[in-house]
Amino acid sequence: MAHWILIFVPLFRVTLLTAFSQEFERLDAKIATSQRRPFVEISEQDIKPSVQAIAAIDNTNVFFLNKRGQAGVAKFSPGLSLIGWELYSKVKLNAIGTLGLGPDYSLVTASPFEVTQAFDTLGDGSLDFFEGIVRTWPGRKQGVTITAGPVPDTAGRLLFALSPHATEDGETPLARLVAWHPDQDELETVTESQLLISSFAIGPNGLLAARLSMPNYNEGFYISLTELNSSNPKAKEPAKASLPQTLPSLLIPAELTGGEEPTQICFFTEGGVTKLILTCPDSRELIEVVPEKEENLWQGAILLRSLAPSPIESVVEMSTGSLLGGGPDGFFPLEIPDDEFRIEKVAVAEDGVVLNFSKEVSRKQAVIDTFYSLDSISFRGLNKTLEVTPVIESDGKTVILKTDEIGKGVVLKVSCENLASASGDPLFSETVFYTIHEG
Amino acid sequence: MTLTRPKILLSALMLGALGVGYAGAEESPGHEVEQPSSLSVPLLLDISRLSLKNFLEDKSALEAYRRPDETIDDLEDAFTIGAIRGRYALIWDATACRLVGVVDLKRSQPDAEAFPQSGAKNQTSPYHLLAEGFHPLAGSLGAFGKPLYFGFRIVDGIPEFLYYHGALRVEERLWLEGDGYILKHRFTVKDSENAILLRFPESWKALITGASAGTWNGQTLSVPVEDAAEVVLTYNLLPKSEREEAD
Repeated sequence: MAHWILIFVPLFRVTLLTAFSQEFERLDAKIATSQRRPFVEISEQDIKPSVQAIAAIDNTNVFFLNKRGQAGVAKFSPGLSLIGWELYSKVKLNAIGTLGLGPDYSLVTASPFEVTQAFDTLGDGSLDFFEGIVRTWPGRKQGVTITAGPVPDTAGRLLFALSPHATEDGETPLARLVAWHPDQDELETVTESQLLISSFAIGPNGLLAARLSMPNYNEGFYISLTELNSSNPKAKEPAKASLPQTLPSLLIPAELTGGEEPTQICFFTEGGVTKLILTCPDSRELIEVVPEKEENLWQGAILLRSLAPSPIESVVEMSTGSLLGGGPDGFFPLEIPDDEFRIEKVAVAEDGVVLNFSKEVSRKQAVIDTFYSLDSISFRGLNKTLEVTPVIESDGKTVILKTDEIGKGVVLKVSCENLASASGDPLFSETVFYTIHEG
Repeated sequence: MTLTRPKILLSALMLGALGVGYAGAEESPGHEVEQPSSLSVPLLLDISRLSLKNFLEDKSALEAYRRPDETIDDLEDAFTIGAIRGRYALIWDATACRLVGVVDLKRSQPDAEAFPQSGAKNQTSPYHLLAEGFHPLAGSLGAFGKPLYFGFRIVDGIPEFLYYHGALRVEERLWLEGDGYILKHRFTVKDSENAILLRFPESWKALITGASAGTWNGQTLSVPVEDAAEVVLTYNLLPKSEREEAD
């Protein structure tokens, strides 16, 4: 039995790339102005697509890139069970692992050497026109390549990261996140970093989350949170002032990721809180980061969200809090079981560390201080174990580890060894981390 | 520090990545692949973009890849085009905007019988054709500077590359026919106001069996302005020693 899906791309999702400033005509000069596409037949199939990047069209349809660099379209049930998929293009692009949505059902990908926008000009459910929209940038001839992106932002731009390079002799080589807009002749530098940007995502209010690569450091993995300047794509000259620097904000300890590198980043919202999820395909772990802004610095909690049934290369938020993952073994809804006993939230208060659990804790165990350990790992290398006094709040789900020894410029490691829920369930993950900057 | 992707040497490894020649199954949901039986019908093509070590040898052809420090760039995001189960693969590169090579997949297979102990060193070169000289259109009026790649499109399964060469707007198609040894090479110069000149290396000219328009003067095909909208070259890629057998 064949299923029929309606690919429907809301125009508000992406407003860029409408200026198709080229003289080569597309095959079909009559580009449909309707937002609705012809139906695409989805046949039943046993083969699972290998997924390296996903872009959500709406709550139940996605475009994706497979490991060969071919674009596909997939349809899901409201519960994110895969109904079917089809290739959207058989051309194998040399794409790095990000997929952006453009208007007219176009897709934007990048290789290290080109940003490509692909169109389905005939409207027959197959990409047939591939424009190399960006092929030159500063340092291109000196070996500077695209390392991450492209990611559309709300200002109608395409953002992508370039490998570190010096603009003048003697300068420190800097990686740059740059923005392309069809109305601007030159790329605009959005932020600079001393470390290579291996992946990034743009969240609410222009918050940039970037993975900074530091290959020789194996204790953990750096995430940068940077508020980008608002952009005026109509301006002829890009704003030069106060270019934000992308600096390491959070350290994801290697022990939390199974020693494997987080690769892709995705913003999502859960319980009204903006969070990040990072994929670690080699360990199948999904890491959750809850960013918090303290004065002008970004800090926050880092915890193991789940262990995926299979390696996950890419995650996308289909609807609020509803996550879909994809990897070499196909698509997976990334749900957290309702009955799982887990640390849902960690926060730092004046009198200690506040832990929120998903279920009531064992009151007998939860007041025993030896069930917890709180380590303070200083950025300056001074580590110490803090004495704590656990106190259970009246809801039974909140434990405060009282201490007055928490300093600044540290990563707190909280372990709840052997702590069970009131019904005897073991904790999904005993350890969480919290980064506190010096301010 | 730069992010570098491994450049692929043209070898059996790459040919597998191409998905052509003797390569395995395609990841595709539930569709039968039909191979046209007629000799004059374009074959179903596999089109990939890959970064390859620069295999060109000719100094003029390498000019398009020369960096400011005089080193030579690799083939970045080159197009590899081949017929599924076909013998020949085409490599078209967006930096030089030209067909830079034709690979004989049969030649690239290790000849285990001939060289049982030899390993890869004794393989014959897999390149059936290699680009030489400047761009084929470089001698045309209006062509100047380096060609500038714009993009490509798929027309009935055939890739058509779009680029500027000076004032010329060029569309270039490549496809394979027959059992994969007939190469069709189509040039279109949009709104040309002049005749166009297409110059090919001697080794390429020797394989060209027909041109839909124009007259040859040595290695240069002169196409009158009225035919500049479409000129199709036909190559028989089979070595002469094998042609009679194929016929």
